[in-house]
Amino acid sequence: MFDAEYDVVVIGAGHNGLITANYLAKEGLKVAVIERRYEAGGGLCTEELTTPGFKHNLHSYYHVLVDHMPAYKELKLKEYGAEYICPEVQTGLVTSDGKTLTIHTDIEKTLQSISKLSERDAETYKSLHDGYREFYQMIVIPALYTLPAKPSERVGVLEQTEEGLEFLRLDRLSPIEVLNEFFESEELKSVILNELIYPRWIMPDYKGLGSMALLIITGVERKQLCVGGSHQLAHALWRSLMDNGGVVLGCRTVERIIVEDGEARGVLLSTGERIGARKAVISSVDLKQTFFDFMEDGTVDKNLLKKIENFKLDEYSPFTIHLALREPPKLSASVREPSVDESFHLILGSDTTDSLSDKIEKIRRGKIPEEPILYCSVPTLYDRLQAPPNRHTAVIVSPVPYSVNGNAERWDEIKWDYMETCLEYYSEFAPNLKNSIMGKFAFSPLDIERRLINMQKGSPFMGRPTLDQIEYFRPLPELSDFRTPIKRLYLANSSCHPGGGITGGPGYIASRVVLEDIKAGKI
Amino acid sequence: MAEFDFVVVGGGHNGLICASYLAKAGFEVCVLERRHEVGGGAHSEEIFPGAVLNLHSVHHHDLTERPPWNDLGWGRFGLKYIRPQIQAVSPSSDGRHAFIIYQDLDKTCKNIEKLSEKDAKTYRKLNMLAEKGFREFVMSLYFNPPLPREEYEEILRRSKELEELIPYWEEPPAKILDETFESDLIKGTLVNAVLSISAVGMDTPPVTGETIRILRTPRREIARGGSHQLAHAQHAAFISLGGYFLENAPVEEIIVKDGKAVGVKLSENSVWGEKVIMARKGVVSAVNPKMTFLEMVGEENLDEEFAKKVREFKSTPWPLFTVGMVMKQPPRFKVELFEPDANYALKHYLGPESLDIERKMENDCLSGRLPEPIGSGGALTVFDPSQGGYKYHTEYFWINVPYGLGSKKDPSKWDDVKEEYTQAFIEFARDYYIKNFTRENIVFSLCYSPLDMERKNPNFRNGDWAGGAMCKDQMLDKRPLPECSNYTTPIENLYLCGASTHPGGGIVAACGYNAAKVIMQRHGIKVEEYMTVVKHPRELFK
Repeated sequence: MFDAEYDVVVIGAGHNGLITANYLAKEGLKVAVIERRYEAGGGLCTEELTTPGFKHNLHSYYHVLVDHMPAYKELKLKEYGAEYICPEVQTGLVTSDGKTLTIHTDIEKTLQSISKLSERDAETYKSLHDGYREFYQMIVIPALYTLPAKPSERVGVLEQTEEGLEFLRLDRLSPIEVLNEFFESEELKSVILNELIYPRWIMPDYKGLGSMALLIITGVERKQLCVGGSHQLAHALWRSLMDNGGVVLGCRTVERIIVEDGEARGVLLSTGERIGARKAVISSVDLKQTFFDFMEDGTVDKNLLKKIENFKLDEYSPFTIHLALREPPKLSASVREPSVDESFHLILGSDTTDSLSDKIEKIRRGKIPEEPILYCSVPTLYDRLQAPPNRHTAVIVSPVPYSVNGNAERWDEIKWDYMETCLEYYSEFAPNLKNSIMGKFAFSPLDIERRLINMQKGSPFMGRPTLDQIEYFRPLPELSDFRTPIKRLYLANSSCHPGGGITGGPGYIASRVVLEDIKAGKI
Repeated sequence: MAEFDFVVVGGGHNGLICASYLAKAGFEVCVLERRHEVGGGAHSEEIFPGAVLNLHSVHHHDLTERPPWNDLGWGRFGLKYIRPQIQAVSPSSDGRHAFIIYQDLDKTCKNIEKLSEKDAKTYRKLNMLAEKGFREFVMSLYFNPPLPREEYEEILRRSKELEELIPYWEEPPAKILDETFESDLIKGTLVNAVLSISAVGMDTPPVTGETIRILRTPRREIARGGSHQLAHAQHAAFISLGGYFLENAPVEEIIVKDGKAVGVKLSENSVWGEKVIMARKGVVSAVNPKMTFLEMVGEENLDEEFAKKVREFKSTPWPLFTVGMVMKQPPRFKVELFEPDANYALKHYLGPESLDIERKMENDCLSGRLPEPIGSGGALTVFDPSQGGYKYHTEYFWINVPYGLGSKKDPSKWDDVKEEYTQAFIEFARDYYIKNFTRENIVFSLCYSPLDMERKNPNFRNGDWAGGAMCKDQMLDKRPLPECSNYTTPIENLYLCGASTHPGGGIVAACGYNAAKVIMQRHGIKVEEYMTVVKHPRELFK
């Protein structure tokens, strides 16, 4: 009845699927991961897109939680080949009138940069950094790797102390309100807001996420890049899975999750192969595929399906440009502030919080801002392996709407023009850019979902992190413990807590939950 | 300091095969790959969102029947092969005829009858002869260290049946095929097939029975999901056998101490924290001899005479220019009205309609001129929709071209002409052979010159996919050089296992196998314990 049988079948070999598979295989379970694409890794994707020899990271190109994700140490991913570099100049901002701000791994250097704009802000920044750093390190970050607490439990703990209450107050605000309360420098506020927009998908006006502004200030999350490209992390996870006896079955599409008597028993593949799962089926792909495409009608309760349909996807989509370069871009502003050229992540087109908010409003209405917001990076400044000797790559991300005036297909017509708009704008800051380009490629929101159908509607975060869709409410209260109404079917995707990006969170927590149920004899 | 028994330089299919056998035999083995991906020529890339193209090797011939398949357990890791019934089509430009090769000989001959009744009879006879003993002969030739060419000929003469094929072993392909067949289309197609698997010119004698090989029924197979899936299975098998693999780890130096290879030095930029990796029992290089000896070992460690020979090691005279296309509809042949099967053939020959056309191509390549865009390709998505994301169709097309262009043989000129050349191919193919190579149907096209191939993978030096010209003075016991044709080298404990060794380039699965066998034997290991041993040529036809 089954062509092959495993203890656990994981759908999707993105980083969450691979992490969960790894932890279960380590416990001696027989695990198979089913992957649709010809490569494992999902968003950990490195390809030679522009010109041979130039390696481009198509989705995530840096990872902020490497220091904290349990999988990195516990699965010995470094030994399996995932080595990280942490750029000293983490973030830079250049305004159209040439003002600069840089965030460093060294807090003193960050403060020096801020003090050039506002002495007062530098002092406030330092006191917030020092005051909250430990709290974020000890309480907030570990919470990313545990089942989300009920809202009352969370408040219950915090309301005991004065500091806790103050934190709760800040949390109830939006990030922009928190920043307005503390700082005067528009540039500083703009940097912090942009750090929340990308890669955390938190918009400046999200109520109840005010405390996230402090996360950026504490610097407990650091941007790091995987040597050789993001896909190297996928290779490390893959090898560690092999060593633990697991297997990835590539180029196979799941047609259906086989459900009998309300229990998931395995998967049916488009090749006709039936793969049995004795203990559990874990879906690391999005909710739509899991509950609609993979399920026979009538398997899932209609009310739940309705709620899943209402699950809100990301508020913007990242339009991405990949460049092969003769030389790294040289910013005009670097004449006065040389370190800005070393910024691993450079923010352009976001001079003030007002102009940023205006652009975001446009994006929300399905319009493309005339002047783009750009996040630019030259990974080869830090990792020489990603381009031929003396050559460079650049990646430019611009937040845009998925549907342009309600029409996503429009991207196929305008993407090359929009790429030129972005390059034109970048060139205003870095005049040598244009002549340095040896190859270029644009990747529209539509292309994202074509390549990774899991990121439907060009939503890499797989569900916006608004107050109603985070923590105990992510993706829905009834699914927030990673279990589903179908016995033996679990979730491990970015729509779960703590959300999208290379956090290693959903995959890790899902493995804990499954192991717990096995130990309790429930499955 | 990191230390292993063996360090293998290069994680392509041969490097992985050799490494896997050594790991299976209990050695500690580490494979170091320069690129960010495993597999070398077993490569696939999503060139357009949803559509995957194989930029190097496309067809793997009966790989599932070769020793490494079972010895190393590649099938355990989800790898599946598809063998299409209709193996090849070569249509004529008038849109009325086609030479079609099927798995079923009767069908092939029935098709050839339409071109020439006499040719159908001749083809049947030759095909049956070649199928009978020659397949076993070739397997034995592949999966054993090489012998001198004359010895193979003696062995062939031992077999009564194969003796009839001796002229095809000895005579230049153009001459013998011209004498054998009437149809220009058949002659041109078969000669194109010979040229594409070797560096043997059409007017010079073949080396390892290339002409006879193409007279057999082809058993081309494609890996489901793309050629890179083979690399995945190989990598998985190697890891499961306890091997250590690292990509993004370019080797800069093979460390030689007292004439002995003792380890490697990695580039400063490599992923690995430690830059020196020691090899207790040996270093095995899967990359070409120029990189191995001149760049990694260094001339200071080589005999001057030997270094000179390495410098003179020749590349394939007609490397490949690849066109990749992503289409809405699969290719539809003009000839479909007369030969509906054309649309369902795995390999498309477009243009080699006579020996004269082929000869012109060969001359153009040798003199640095851009040849007419003729060659062979195929639409893999017809057989494996997963490669088109269940939405698109793809066509790859290979054109034999020179590496350097113009009187100065300048490869950098490719960057100026490649776009135009690709368009010229598309127009040529649409005008004569495939009607829907139209602007409306083609959503994306990719041009990949020999220079690009070398940029992507420096082991494909001069755009040579074969690891060095597969010509008479560089084959069999002279491959890559007489001094290192037994997978050993003048440097003690330095071995070769790549396409530059016998039997040569392509996904043959034999170079790495033979190298592993030699290495294991040198360490006193009973090879039968770990590998399926293929009968030695000297044991054949007794």
